[in-house]
Amino acid sequence: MARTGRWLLLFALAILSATPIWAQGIEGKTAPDFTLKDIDGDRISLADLTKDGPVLLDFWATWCVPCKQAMPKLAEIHEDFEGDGFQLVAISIDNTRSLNKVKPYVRSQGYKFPVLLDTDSQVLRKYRGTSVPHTVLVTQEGTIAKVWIGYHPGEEKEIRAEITALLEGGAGD
Amino acid sequence: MRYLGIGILLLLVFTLTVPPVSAQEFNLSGNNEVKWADGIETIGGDQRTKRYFEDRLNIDGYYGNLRLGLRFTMLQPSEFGEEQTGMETLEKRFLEYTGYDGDLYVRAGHVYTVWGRGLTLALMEDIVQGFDSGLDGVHVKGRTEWVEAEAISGRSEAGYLGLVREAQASGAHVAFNLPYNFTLAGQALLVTPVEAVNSYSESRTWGGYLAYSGPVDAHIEHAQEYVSVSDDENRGTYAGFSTYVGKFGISLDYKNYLYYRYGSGLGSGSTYSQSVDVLPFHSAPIVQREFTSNLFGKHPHIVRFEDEVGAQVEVTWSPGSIGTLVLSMAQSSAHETEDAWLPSLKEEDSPYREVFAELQSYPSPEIYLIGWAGWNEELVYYNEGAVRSRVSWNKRTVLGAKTEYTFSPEWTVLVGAEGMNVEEIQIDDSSESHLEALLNLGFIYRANYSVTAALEMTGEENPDENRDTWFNVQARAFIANRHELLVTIGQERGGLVCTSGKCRLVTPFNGVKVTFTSLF
Repeated sequence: MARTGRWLLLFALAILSATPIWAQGIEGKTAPDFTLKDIDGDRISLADLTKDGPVLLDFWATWCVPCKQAMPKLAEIHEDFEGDGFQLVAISIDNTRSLNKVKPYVRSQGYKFPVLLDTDSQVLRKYRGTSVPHTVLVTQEGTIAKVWIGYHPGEEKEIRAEITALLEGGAGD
Repeated sequence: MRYLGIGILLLLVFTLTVPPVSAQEFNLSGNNEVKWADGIETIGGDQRTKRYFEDRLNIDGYYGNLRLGLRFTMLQPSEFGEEQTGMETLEKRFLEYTGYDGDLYVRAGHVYTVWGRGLTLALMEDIVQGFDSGLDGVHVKGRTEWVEAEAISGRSEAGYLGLVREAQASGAHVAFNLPYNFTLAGQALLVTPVEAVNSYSESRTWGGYLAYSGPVDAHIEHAQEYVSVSDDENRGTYAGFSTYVGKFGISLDYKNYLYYRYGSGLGSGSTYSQSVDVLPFHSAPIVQREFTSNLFGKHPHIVRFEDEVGAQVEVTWSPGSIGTLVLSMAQSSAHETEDAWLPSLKEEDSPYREVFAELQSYPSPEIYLIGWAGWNEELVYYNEGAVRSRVSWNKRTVLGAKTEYTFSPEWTVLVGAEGMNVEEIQIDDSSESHLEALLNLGFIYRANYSVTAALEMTGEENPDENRDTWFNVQARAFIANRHELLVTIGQERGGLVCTSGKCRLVTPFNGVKVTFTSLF
């Protein structure tokens, strides 16, 4: 089994490195579909979210300091582009240990964007996330435009530029 | 292999029911993570060469409503683990079907799920902790407007850390969405170990919960566990309430756990033995603040799922102009009597209490500030391994702050400082205390490149590693929005790292570590 695994891994890496899949990255891929409950218990799917325009999926958790550092910046982006069909969606990966803290935290902040619950991180994994924050910009057509791993100051400028480009029909840089 | 056969059968069935390939889009995506290190680790005062190479390649293929997931893993050897001999294998594989709007979900292969707050069943993987309670089996979910039902069956794998025993597990869960936003659920689980090694030959757990969503959210859950090796009925109860008023958010959590104590599969003499016992198939809320600060977090209270009662209150206040203040308080202990439902204050019941406050703020768009202060104390009187070998009151007080200042359109500077007082009072009232400190300085360029230096110091008289300072530098590059490179050079102090009540002792390390992650 070990030998088979080694050859399968080498084969997979060879295929990936020899084809445009690796070079292309995740951008342009179809965004994996999902349906999750929000903090009020309503079910929301990706199709619901992309109905009016691009969506920024922000995977976060109440225990994640960089996530909470980024969120006010992302909330500003949501407010600025909300009228243009854009929507920010925060997807909490808080699991059994901290799920009870999500709603009071979000409500106390006065955030108006939807907050979904991915308690077993299955949607995060579909979007290739291994940690949070993990931010994914999805076009209205349902393809992945950009991905950001972690949060670092200044990232919001790049996110803002990408959203502007999408809303203006450009490809972004 | 039996389940792989079922998976192939499902693939055939669903392939026949969806349009031909030409009309469907086939998508392939994935990620690859490589971890490599070369240096020296210190275990029990002894130093030895530490080298590891880990590669995890995850690939997902999507075709219509079908998803095929694969993970190839190469450990040559692993970062941690008893044998350190390495592994090369197709570690994970599954075939998944999701019906329209998620009304029907079928997955064969490696499956995971969490019911309610996890008191009866929580199957999860935590690579950092080396914990994986997922089953190789079948998972089916279906729902209508009023009812949601799940069934799961499969075999757990022991894994190279032995945290989860090899067992056959089967269970079912049904939840009714009642009027006025109430949910009522019931669930049952049967676990039969493949080998009843000095432990149990069967466990049966049943439970349920009542939840309400509205101005006040509530979740009350109970699980009752019968383990063949024990005459006792083991149980777990959790209640969570939360609400918000204006800029205030409040949550109250309560735990009352008397689960069966399974213990780690690794022997106590093992170098890499886990310092705590684990619940293989449950993951009840820990009801305490788990993520605090770097220094404070190295002295966690280890939740005793076999005997613990306690509560936590967390208040969030977001006045806007100041930022967000989070105040958390928790108290827990062993049961004074088996029926006790409040934590005890008596020393013989090993009480634990903590207070932690954190303030995050943006005084201006260019400046980010975070400050924290915390205090906890715990009477440790058990003799359950390295971290509980002494009878003493352990008290820690921490104070810290970090700021990030964006001083040009492209550059941000990061400065952080944290200090902690650690006091250990023996039962004979003799005591010793020392200070610990952590300093950080870093620069971030255009959000994609950063370099951070960290200096940790301790005033402890006889530190485990015979060293009182640790210095390292970490560089990060995020390339083309798809590759992340992390390089750390220097010394890492290590310590206990806990997630969801599962803990791992990270050994002190001196050398180079590289992590390279790619998305595709």
